Amino acid sequence: MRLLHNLALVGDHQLFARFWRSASLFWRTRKAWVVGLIVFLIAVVLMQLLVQVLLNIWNRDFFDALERKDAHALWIQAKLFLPLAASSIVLAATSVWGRMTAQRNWREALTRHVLEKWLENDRFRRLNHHMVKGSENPEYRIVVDIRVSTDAPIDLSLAFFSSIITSITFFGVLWSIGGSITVTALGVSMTIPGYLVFGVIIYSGLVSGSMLLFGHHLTGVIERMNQSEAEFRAAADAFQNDAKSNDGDKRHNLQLKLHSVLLWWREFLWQLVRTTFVSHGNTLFAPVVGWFLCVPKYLTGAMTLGELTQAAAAFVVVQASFNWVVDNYQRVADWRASVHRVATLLLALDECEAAEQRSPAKV
Amino acid sequence: MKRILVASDGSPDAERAVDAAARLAKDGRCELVILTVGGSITGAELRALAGKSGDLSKTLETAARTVLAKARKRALRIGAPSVREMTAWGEAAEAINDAARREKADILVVGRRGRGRLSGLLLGSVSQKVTALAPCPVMVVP
Repeated sequence: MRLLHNLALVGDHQLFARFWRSASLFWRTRKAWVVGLIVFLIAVVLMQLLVQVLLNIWNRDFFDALERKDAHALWIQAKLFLPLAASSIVLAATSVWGRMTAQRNWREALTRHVLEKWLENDRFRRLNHHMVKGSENPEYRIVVDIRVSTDAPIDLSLAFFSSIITSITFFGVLWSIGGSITVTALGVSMTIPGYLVFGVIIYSGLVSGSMLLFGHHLTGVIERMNQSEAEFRAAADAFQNDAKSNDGDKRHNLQLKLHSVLLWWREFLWQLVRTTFVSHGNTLFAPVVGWFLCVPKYLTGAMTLGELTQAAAAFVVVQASFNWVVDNYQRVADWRASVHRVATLLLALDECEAAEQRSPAKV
Repeated sequence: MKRILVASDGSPDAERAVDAAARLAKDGRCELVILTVGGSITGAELRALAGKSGDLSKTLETAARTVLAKARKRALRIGAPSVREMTAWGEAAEAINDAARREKADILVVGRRGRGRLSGLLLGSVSQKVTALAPCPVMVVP
């Protein structure tokens, strides 16, 4: 049996489709359980948002009491903080349980499915002997890549959902607290309604835009780096799997793959250095920008100290939600690379299966 | 003298080294081994590869093969009787000395300066490092 296809040349769309065909088995076969878990996870995200809003309000009331030097109100706020903090902690732990339970079950279902295909009719032996370019190192793909490919979508989609509803909710907070501001420039007065909302959109746009500008190669570089790491492992495994020909070609290939890994690592390093300028700058600037936008209203007495801290906190929350894509750049790249590797293994196994059906006697 | 090892990265200095080594091989009727240490690629080239379905290993191998083919042509034109090519990866000076050791070269020929002119100025050139640690006599071609 000859496996002639070079799977490294299969397109992105085809790879995702092949991955999803096997990965979606879990979602299709255990519908009731899956729907229950999704509803539970969404409910946890919504409750977390509720607690976040209550903490934001608590922040306002606490600082207002502090500004008034009102000991009684401060004591009430201190007592309120305990149940809020407890709820936040319990919800965070519940969310971890829910997410990891979903990930564990999905990983189990996909791993069992791939293992079955790999072990059936000793396909693992034929896959090793007729090594298909792009399906090297199947053990690693089954153990690590399936885990990454099933972990990330759950974390990423929950974080995405959370970011959207958090942004919308805190837009409301910023709109109502900030109100409008009148700006006078060159003798012309202009009133901007909900100016904090516009402020956060402009600031987040600048941060995300800078991140895309500085790090637009990052996902590609991470994907290539992960792929070259996998090829390096496969080149090292070749010594073990085919001990009779420990020749110069293998040594040459091993050194070439190591060199590729190191070159990609060097580029990854520079990409991270570039994006760190933006991400670290944002960590420092985001809270300060929030404060500075509110200061004019605070100084005129249109905003209390509590509202100032509440708005600044809401500004940071919305800004962080806006940066979902930027924050998850690396995770998305890792996920894409793992999906590619699982899909190429599945395509190689499909080829084995098709060849078995064409000539069953040779199996 | 049985075997001469010459290192080339395709730079003008390396080409002069190949010429000198080929003349030596011709006069001494010995084997000429041309070595290139592959892997020199810029960040811009890497980023371009990251954006499409390019294969870095293949790119590196092609670049190394091009350097070797050019050097081989030069050596044969000068009259070297037997030419063999090889590629190594990693830090240039270390890889050149390793190859000289493995190939049991009687003499090692290198150019004075390769492509890494700036790093050569800062850290010392590859030829300086090779000379310091070589397992055999070294001829540095100016």
